[in-house]
Amino acid sequence: MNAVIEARGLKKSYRKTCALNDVSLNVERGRILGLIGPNGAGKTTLLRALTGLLRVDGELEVLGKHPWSERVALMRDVAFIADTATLPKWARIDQILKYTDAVHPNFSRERAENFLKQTGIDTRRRIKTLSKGMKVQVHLALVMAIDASLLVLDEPTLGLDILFRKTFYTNLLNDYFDDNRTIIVSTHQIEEIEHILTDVVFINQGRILLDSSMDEINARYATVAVKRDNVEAARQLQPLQETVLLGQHVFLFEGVAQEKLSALGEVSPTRVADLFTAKMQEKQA
Amino acid sequence: MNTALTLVRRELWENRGNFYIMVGILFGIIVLASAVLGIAVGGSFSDLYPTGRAHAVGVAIAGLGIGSFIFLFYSLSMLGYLSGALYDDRKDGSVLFWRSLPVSDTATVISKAAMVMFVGSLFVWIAMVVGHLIFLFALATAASARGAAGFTVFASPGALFGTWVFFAYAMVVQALWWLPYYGWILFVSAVTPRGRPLIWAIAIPAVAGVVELILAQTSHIFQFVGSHLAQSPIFNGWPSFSINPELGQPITSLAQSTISANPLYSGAGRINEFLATPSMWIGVAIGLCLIALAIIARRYSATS
Repeated sequence: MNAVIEARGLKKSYRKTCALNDVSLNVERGRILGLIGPNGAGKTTLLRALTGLLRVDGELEVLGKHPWSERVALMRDVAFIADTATLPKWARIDQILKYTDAVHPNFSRERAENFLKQTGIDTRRRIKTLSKGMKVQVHLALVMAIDASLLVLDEPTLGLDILFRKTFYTNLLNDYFDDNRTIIVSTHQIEEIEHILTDVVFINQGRILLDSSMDEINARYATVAVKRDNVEAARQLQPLQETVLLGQHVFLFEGVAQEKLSALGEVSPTRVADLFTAKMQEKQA
Repeated sequence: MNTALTLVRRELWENRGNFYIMVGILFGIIVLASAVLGIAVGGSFSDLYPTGRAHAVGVAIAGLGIGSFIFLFYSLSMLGYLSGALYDDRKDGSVLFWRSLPVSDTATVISKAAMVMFVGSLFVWIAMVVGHLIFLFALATAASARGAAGFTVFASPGALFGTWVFFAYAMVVQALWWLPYYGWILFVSAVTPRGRPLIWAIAIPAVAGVVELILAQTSHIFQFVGSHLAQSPIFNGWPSFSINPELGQPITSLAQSTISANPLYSGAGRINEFLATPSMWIGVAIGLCLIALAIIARRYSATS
């Protein structure tokens, strides 16, 4: 069995707002899934449900376990960064390492210390004396030293500058990811991570708008910079989106044959960010 | 490494002030008080309590007095610790980190209750033993400086050890006696949405008591809370032999007392009585229920 996550009809409401509305999801081993949606879309709710922090209605299995009732067993194989600032401020880094080493059967302190050595952060420092970027590096070093099957990252680079964000994902790919692991990452900064993703899920108002692999997206969607004379013809093909940039008409098509598109103008792969805005607008229309 | 031990260490790392620094401050006070008393008390301890039995009583009273003093202030420190134990990490978001590790909420909450009941008690006990020795040593030194045989105060080690064992027993019973308070504060700490949990922990029963007083003209809430506070194994245990319970005589005449038993036995008897009261076990049951509720609340702590 290769399914890491199997979710059917997940529902969660907070008082009046519906955070998850009939969400179903399947994620297989070895994938890097980007969970993309605006603020309040239900990303955090979904990720916390996966990690057993939150009780939701519906059927949910992660690594064959029920997250809410089997959180402790599950968290031996799942690593989680909930936010950029969840490490305890009062603690010294070496205390966190000691603690994790003692309670976590799949944690390698040596590995974490090696990662930290690369960052040059002194492990005797307290978390509260670290910059936001350093905190994230420490947290990443910690979770990368956990031999986990699933890594869940909820906006792990929020508020960091671009250099930190780049290093974060580079380290994740080079030093951590392999075919046996699965990563789910939610983010606003789609452009920066789309090249590492194998799958994308768009979520808005608790509903999944799109659940697709990058290969499918590339096969199904295309962006065409249409020549002026072909604009009307392009509109006939019912584009998902039409944008005009510096007088250039750019269309986003879904499920239109490649030959037809190349006749209209220059075809390029669709960027996830553009697809996301298109899907959001389609939803509103 | 042992998980239970790690959970204890974690608490000590986070709460150095409540556990270590508090002991340090109390030690400072004891040393200062010992010096003042040592100088103030003209004669030696043995001059005051010349014979074996009264001597033992004097040693015991000094030890238990010091122990009770440390316990009282340490308990206040523990209230501060408990009220933040399941609140602070929710407030700063680090609960998400702690709960991302394979440690059960049950183990977490129980470790916090155990910190007060066992680790805190152990700290108080050690502080009492060391404080006791410091006090007697200061007294003996001061007396010797005046030419008295001050160090005879250490002549009967049995009295010293007896006092320490007695105090350890009193602390265990005390921890059980106050379990409902510990459970209550832990529970409030686990559910307080914002503000200061300790204020809620005090305000809720206070308001409930006043409401009961006005509406029902009864005071069951105040009586339960108050009686549990007013009687305590540590404070009610030790004064019982400063005045001989049977003869009603002041301590200086205990030497002539007809009771041959170790004076600590009467105190131990008083503590045993606590274990025999329904109030004790009702309190323990309430405390355990509140801790169970705190564990449930902890499971939902990352909900919002």
